[in-house]
Amino acid sequence: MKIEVLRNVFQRNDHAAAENRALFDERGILCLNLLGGAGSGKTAVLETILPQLMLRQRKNGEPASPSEPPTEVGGQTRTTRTLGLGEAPALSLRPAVLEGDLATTRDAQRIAALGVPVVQLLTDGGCHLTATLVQQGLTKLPLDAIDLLIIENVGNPICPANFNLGEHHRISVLSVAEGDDKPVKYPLLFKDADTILITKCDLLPYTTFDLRRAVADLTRLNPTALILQTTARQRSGFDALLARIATLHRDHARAPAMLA
Amino acid sequence: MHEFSVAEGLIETAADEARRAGASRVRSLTCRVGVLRQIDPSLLQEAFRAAADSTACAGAALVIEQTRMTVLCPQCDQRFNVDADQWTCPACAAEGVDPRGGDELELRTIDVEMSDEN
Repeated sequence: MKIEVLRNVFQRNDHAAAENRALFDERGILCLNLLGGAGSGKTAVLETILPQLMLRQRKNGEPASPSEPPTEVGGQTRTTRTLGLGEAPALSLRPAVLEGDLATTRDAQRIAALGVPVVQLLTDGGCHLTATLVQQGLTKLPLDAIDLLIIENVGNPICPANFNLGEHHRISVLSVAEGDDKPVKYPLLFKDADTILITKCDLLPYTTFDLRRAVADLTRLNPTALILQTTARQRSGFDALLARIATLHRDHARAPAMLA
Repeated sequence: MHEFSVAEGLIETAADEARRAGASRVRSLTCRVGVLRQIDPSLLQEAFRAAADSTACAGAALVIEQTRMTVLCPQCDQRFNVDADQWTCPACAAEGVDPRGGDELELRTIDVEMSDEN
């Protein structure tokens, strides 16, 4: 007997992703999935924008206090501690981060040094984050005290794009050092992104990266994406990204359940 | 990549559907896999054979429909299949626009053996 099924293959993951998404919407948290190849500059992007996002939230201009060591999920078990945010008012952006890696807490430590609540997700060899692992990480975050969650995915241009984590939007990163042919080689990474960052633009004079070509290929593949050029070492190009995150956050706050 | 995860997902979903229908065994499955997923069909077949062992899908045939991304020719007003970087219309050589599809990953149909059949 033949049965028509028409169901997505990664069901378990998608079911967990839907649960994550429902939790975000219930708590008024905008969730962004940050993807890109290994060493493309994802953590450096966060190091650049997070202090700015938190600065917007501070009425009195005081810097955020350094937080406690990050908690880990997966990998080695450690005592978990909730990280404090300080006396932030209940408006503007209050970010938290989930860091995804195969090993080490190095990226989470970089985020923790900024005073942002962060949990390190360790895949123990898995090459991408899954919605289930994200779900575990969410239990360690102060969800009542945040309204923006950025998930920094495992550095990998292929696999992470296949797995929905429950995010509202994706930000994909391509560094000048990786080559201008990566948009056509890894279309799944870029085609559904809300925003695409071309990072490490200070390296343009030292590489054969054809910026015009890369932007043309990206635009062709994803006509509606916002494509930005950034240089973390010079802190340049990030105003447009901050504005975009603010807009996404505002739109989300207005109608969280209605956004695709 | 992830042929094994895909195989497991197919088997789980097929077994669930079979159970719902009161069937004991899955004879065949048809899935749709877009080329953007970068799944190797022959590896997927191998992974499926290995993963299906001792499940309701043991011995089942797996039919894989591969789909490609399509774009629209603005001159001909027809969609055509494209590969990674060639978006030229085969009829008039114009550049295609409005990319769609190629990222499907879906179990389409299954053929089951009902419990009272031999």
